[in-house]
Amino acid sequence: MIGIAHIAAYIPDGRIDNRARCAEFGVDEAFLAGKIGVERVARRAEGEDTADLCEKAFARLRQETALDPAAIDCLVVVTQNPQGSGLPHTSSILHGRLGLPPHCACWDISLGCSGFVHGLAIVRSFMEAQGLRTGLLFTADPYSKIVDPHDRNTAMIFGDGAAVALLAPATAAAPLFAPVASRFHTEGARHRALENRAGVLSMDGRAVFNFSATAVPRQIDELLAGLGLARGDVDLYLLHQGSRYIASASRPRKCRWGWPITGIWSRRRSP
Amino acid sequence: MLRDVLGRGDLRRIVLSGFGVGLAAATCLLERRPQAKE
Repeated sequence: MIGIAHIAAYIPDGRIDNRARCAEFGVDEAFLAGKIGVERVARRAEGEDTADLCEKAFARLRQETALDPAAIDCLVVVTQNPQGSGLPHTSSILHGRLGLPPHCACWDISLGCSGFVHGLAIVRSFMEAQGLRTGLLFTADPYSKIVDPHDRNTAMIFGDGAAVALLAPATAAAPLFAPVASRFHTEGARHRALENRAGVLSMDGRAVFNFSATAVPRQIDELLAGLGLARGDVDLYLLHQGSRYIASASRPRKCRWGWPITGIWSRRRSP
Repeated sequence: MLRDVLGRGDLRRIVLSGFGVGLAAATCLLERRPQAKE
């Protein structure tokens, strides 16, 4: 069974301090901490593009593991902000830069917050069907390419960064967290709630909240019910969403949960 | 973050969920494998 052997990340050094922008956006620090939950937004260096972020995440992965690039069988990049104009695909550019072997399959996936979970299911299925042993799943989004720095709906939430998950078979000697089952849900009729409008990111926060607060708890319960599990059988829930308020509203109650944003995520048993 | 808990032997099952753009949601149960039989 294919599982996650390691994850490495690259967060650019640049930071925008949201506390210094509270007045501009008409919010106080209590709102910033409790609802938005992001104190500082990471910003890429000038000229740093999507493949650059991925390349630096990969360099960290090489430092932290004994990975042999010649053994990599597939490389997938999940992004909503591909390198340059998006053609060719970022994964192909990255394949060339990293000097990966010709047998390595490469493709991009266009997804945002749900991208890692979708990507994990896709790459794991592909690897198991093809009998592959080593895969790379990148998630990379330099959102500053499309964020209006004066839009309070997006500017305090969307940062820049990249991560890479190394996928490999779990063995008795090296047990790994492996995906057992997944569920997916799409409400495409409401896709305009969060979109790139002529090069600028636009978000209807209320619509995203309403979707998340209803669809996500239901999906979690359906997933667990299908496996014969209860909420308490899970040790930890990790939710990916840009806003602390939305993640909090979507979490299962009375369970340990985390909000995976660097530096400010919480892990605690909720009241 | 997921990367911070990958090596923790006290965790057996983790649920990951991502939701937003699309509007799309995906949820996955991760289990530490292989597991000793209970």
